[in-house]
Amino acid sequence: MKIKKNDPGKVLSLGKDARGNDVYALSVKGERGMVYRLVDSFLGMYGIGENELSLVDSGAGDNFYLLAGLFFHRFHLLAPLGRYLIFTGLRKHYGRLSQLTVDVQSRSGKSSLTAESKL
Amino acid sequence: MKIIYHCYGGAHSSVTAAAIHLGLLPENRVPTREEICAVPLYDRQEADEHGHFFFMGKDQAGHEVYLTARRSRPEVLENIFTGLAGIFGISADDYYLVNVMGEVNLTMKLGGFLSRRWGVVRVGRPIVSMGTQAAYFQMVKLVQRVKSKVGGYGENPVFQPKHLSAGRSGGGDSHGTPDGGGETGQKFLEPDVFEDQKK
Repeated sequence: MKIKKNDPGKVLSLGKDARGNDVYALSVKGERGMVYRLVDSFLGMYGIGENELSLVDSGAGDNFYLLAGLFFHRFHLLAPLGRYLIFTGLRKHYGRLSQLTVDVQSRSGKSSLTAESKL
Repeated sequence: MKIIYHCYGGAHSSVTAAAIHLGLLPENRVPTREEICAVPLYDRQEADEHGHFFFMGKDQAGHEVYLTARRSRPEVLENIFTGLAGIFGISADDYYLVNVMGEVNLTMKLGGFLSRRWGVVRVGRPIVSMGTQAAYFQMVKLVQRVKSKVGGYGENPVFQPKHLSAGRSGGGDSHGTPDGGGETGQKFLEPDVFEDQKK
């Protein structure tokens, strides 16, 4: 999925999970804390219950390959190297990611929405 | 409707614009530095509060006025707000995001940097309030544009003499400022602006 220059913060719908929860992706572009406060505050402002949305930081455990891949991917000529490093990083990170989703699913049985934030 | 003023640190320009909007600062003259510094939240917000929406009050048309800090990423705030509003079925007519950074001058940036980033409040605050005075009428114009856009302010949304008359509280004033407007007729909110603050 390609995120364009002005897209950070855009909430992208990814579909529904097996329990009917809506799943979204959100790029936070290095502003993790601020994004958490924005979302929290938004929910409070409109009186939306905290159970309605669960924000999961999927980028907290990003490894070196992923970060290097993201860096190289910015440059046109080095993009293939960046992609290779990203795939390598994802493969290494996959177990942790799948464990994260299992934890989230077990936690969010009743919630209707799940947003996953990613650096 | 919720009107949300946002700027880099949510400490100066957005606070000033929200205060003008609510009639806490006059529209027809540049306020003194003391008046500016007396506005709740002016030069107060810290970095770990960025992203939080602070409720400043209700204006005379019943619109709720908020402010927030979004650092150098207005697009993040706008995208998240729009995205969440879409998810929860909140109409685009129910909120209005106003970027105040366009009215910020170099003096404000320098003073704000010294006061908020470096913590040299004694030096930074006078500089940033001086910058606020210099940019004041630009902010007044911005607020007037916002008011004319959101509507609900009667015949003349731009000029509101009831906020300027000495020592009177406006009859239709709904933002519930405490009585005792003082000689200038300016009224300041009590720290109930923190009611919405995250514990």
